[in-house]
This record gives sequence, C-alpha cells and structure tokens, in this order.
Amino acid sequence: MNLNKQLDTLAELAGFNIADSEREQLLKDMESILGYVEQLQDMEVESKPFVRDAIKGDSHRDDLVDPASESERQAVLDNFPAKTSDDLLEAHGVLDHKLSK
Amino acid sequence: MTIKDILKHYEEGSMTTRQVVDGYLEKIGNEDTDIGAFVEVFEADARLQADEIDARRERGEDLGPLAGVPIAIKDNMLVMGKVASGGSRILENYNATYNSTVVERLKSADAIIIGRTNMDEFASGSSTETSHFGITKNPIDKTRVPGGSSGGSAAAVAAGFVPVALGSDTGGSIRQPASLCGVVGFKPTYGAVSRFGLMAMASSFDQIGPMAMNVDDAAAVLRVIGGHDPQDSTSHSEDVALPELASDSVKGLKIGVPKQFFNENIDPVLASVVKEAIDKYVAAGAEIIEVDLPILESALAMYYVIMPAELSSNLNRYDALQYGRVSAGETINAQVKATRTEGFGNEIKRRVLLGTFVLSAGYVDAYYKKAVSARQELREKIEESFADVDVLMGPTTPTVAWKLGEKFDDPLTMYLADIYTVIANLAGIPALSIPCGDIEGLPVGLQLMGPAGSDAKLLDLGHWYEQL
Repeated sequence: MNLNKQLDTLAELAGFNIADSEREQLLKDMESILGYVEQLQDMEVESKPFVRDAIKGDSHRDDLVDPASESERQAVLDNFPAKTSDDLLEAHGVLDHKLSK
Repeated sequence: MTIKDILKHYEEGSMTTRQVVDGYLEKIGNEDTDIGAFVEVFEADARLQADEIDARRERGEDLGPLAGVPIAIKDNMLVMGKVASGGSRILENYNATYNSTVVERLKSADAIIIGRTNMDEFASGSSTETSHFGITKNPIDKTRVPGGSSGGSAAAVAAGFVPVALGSDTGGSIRQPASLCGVVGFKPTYGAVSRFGLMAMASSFDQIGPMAMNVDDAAAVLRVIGGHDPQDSTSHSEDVALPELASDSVKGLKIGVPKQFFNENIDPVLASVVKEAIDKYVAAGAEIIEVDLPILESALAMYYVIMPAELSSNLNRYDALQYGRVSAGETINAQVKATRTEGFGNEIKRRVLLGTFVLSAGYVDAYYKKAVSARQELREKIEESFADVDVLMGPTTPTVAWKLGEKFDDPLTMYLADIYTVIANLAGIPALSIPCGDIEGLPVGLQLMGPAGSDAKLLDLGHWYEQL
C-alpha cells in the first residue's frame, strides 16, 4: 500500500485540499494509525453483520408528512449562504460546462 | 449546589430562580475566561426564563421536575435560534432551526439552558484542544487538559458553573473528561436517549448523557431526556426504566474485572486506586470474578476503523450549500473543496481521510467489513460475560489528566486515552464513570459497565459508592 500515491485521490473523495506543507505529517500520522489497526488482520473472525440495536424493538414511525411551521421555514431560509430575491437557494451550477445539443 | 439543593431552596423560598441563575452567571463571568468551558453564555435568555419561572411559581402554577435548574449543553446539540457550531469553523455562523429532542425535553421540564460548552471539533478528540474556539482547561489543574470531547461540559460542572451539563459519548467523550475532571459521567444504553438534533459523529456509537457532581443529579436529568422518540429511529420503542435510586445492598453482586484492563497500558498507581475502589464493593459483600476477554485488546483498533468511516460519511453534509461558512470558489466543486479545506481542522481531516480510505474499493473488505465483524464478535463476547457477572468494573482512563499540548502532536498516543471507554460504545451497553480517588490531586475515575438496559442498576451501584 502506497498511501502517498493514494492521498490525492482520498482527498478528492473527501472533498478538501491538502497543502504541500501538511502532506508529510499527515502521511506519517495516517501510517501510524493504520499500522495500529492492522492488528485486525490477524483476528480470526467469522464474517457477520453488525446488529445495531443493543435492545431489540421496533422504532419505526408512520410515513406521514409533518410540515415545517412558518418560523422553522424562515429559520432554514435565513441560514442559506446565498439566496435569490424569491427565497430560492442560490449556488453554482453543478454542470459547469454547456451541454451539447 | 446540587439539583436537590437548588430545588430545596425553591421549595423553601430561601432563594429565587433569578438569584440562583444570577449566582451562576456571576461565577461564569468571573472565572470562565481562565478555563474556557463555554463557547457562549445565554445570559439574557437565562435571566428572562428565571423571571418567568419565579412568576409562575408565585402564581402557584405547576412546574416541571427541573424547574429553575441551570444546565449547560454541549455545542453539538441544537438549541433553536442559537448558534450551534460543533466546535467547528465550518458552522461558526449556523443558527439551529429546531430544538434537539433533549433540549426540547429539558425546556418542557423548565430547566434553564444557560449556554453552550466547548468541545473537540465534531466530537473528534480526547482533550478539548481541537475546537476552533480555543482550548478548555481542567479546573482542577489549569495546566492540564479536561479530557474530551465533552471537555467544556466536564469543566463547567467541575468548576461549579452549573450543577449539571449534557455531553455526548461516541468512544468515551462523556466518561473520559468526567474522569479527568473528577465528576460523574454517564453514557446510556445505545438508543435510550434520542439523537435527534445531535450533530452526528458516528451514528452507531453516539449517545447523549449527563455530567454532574453526583449520580443522583445525573439520574434526575436522565429521567427527563431519556425515552422513546419517534423522530429517532434508533431510539428504543420501550423506555429504559429509571426508578429512584435505591442503593440496595451489594451483597452477592458479581463484579467482573477483565484482566485486560490491568496490563501495560495503565499507570500502575492509577491501577491501585481503581482496585481499592472495587475492593470497597467487596468489603460490603460483593464478589470479584476475573474475566478473560482477549477481544478487548482489539477494541480500539475496531473503533478507529468504524468510527472514522461513519464520521467521514456524516460530515459529507457540510457541502457549502444550505448553511454554514462558505469559502470562495468559481465552480461548485471548487467552492465545496475550499469551504471544507478552510472549515475543517487537522484532526477532522485526518479522520475523514482515514474513513474514506477504509471504505474505499480495494480496502473496504480488509478494513471496514473486518472491523464490523470483529465488533459483532466483541458484542457477543461481552453479552456472554454477563451470564456470569452482573457488572464489569475497571478504570475509566489509563492515566490522569495530562499537560496541555503534551499529546496534541501524536494522534495515536491521544487515541490510547480511550482504550477502556470505546468498549461500551462498540457493544451499545451503558457505562458510568464516578470519581474514586486521586493521584496528587488529579482525579481518577472508576468505570462500571452493564448489560444493555441495565442503566438503572449501574446508577444505583454508583450511588451506593457515593454514600460511603
């Protein structure tokens, strides 16, 4: 495993940039931690899914809409980093190139 | 003052709610600059609420069970209309748009939310040194860490700024700082307290719980915040029972002490303090049964694969779109990247990268799926052990509080602080830390763990110890 080669791909997937000045320490730390968790490879464990609930029980609720109040709606709108004059969330287009016809 | 003391003052009329709240606010104002327990104090709101409660009491109205009790909330639990930042720059301007269930329940009980406490960024840390808003110091010794990630809440209680605070615990983040600051900290059975409105760190581990000066106060808060919540699908359909603490005799109690707890990882002096504490139960008729659980030696490794995996998934939501701090970028990808680069601290980046790695193609089987299987094995082994013992006891932490900055540059050394606490989160079982002594004035915590649903039993055993 060459973590150095993979770091840029991991950062791309994780959605942030890694400065050159941070790279060496970051690799050292990750190698140290991955070295520690390597011990799991020596464990002989049957492959099994995790049972999430410590206590069994059905916690589903009915699939019904519970609409937001006007004040809740306004609070959400007020958090928008950018919005249009008619309260639509404004953001860069996902497609940053023109579609061909 | 304990919650009981406060409620007694109100009942006897010897103090008003406003006097109590003013007293705490004054103490916070005078002393917190030096400790850094709070990110924000809700001074005006607390005073307004105090006056309202006094007026209602005057009119003879019914009041909730925590009426007029000031409580601090960790900065990762939403309080509607207030900033909730999770200790992170990326949410420094985020205003909560709803109350978390725990806050809603505390408000219904007429408790007074006095402020939000400091924490490691997105609960990722064991020392409260990674918050964007500064460090928190241990009130017992201000050259030392309070532990983390609920270090602000632990410090607030230890410093006497509040009688009780809420923390969240994913790998020990309530119990470890409680132990280092000499207060009580309780992580309930997974699903006993709603996570609705708690910023998710690792969703299969996170639980909210109380931190207080004594077990009685912790239990009083748990009775209010616990119970089924239809808005949290991981919340149990049946409430975990919490009757009044009885402190029954411990005669015949079977205490399991895993031999893995007393190995080379632990400070030998701390080990003897904890053993002395366990012996007090034995002196009263309990029996120690040595338990051999070799799988516990791999618990931390399991945790540091699964937790970063879940964290990396949960933190994807901070995408520069609907809320939070936004950095400049000419395209959506550039903007998201710039925002997350500038908004996240180093520990978060480290953990998110780790999580991304263990979930990535080519590695997911060897790391994540292996860890998940190992976790299930651990859970089953722990459940089996409870066939022979009633409770597991041991140290909460391997050392007492360390100096500020001492472990900051060595993540793995920092992670080892959680070696005893991650077990309860992996298994979904309840766990309590109570003060049991000190080493040259630095507190030591005794940890008690029980089967899922045994929350009341653990609190009773802790309460028994406190009465000695």
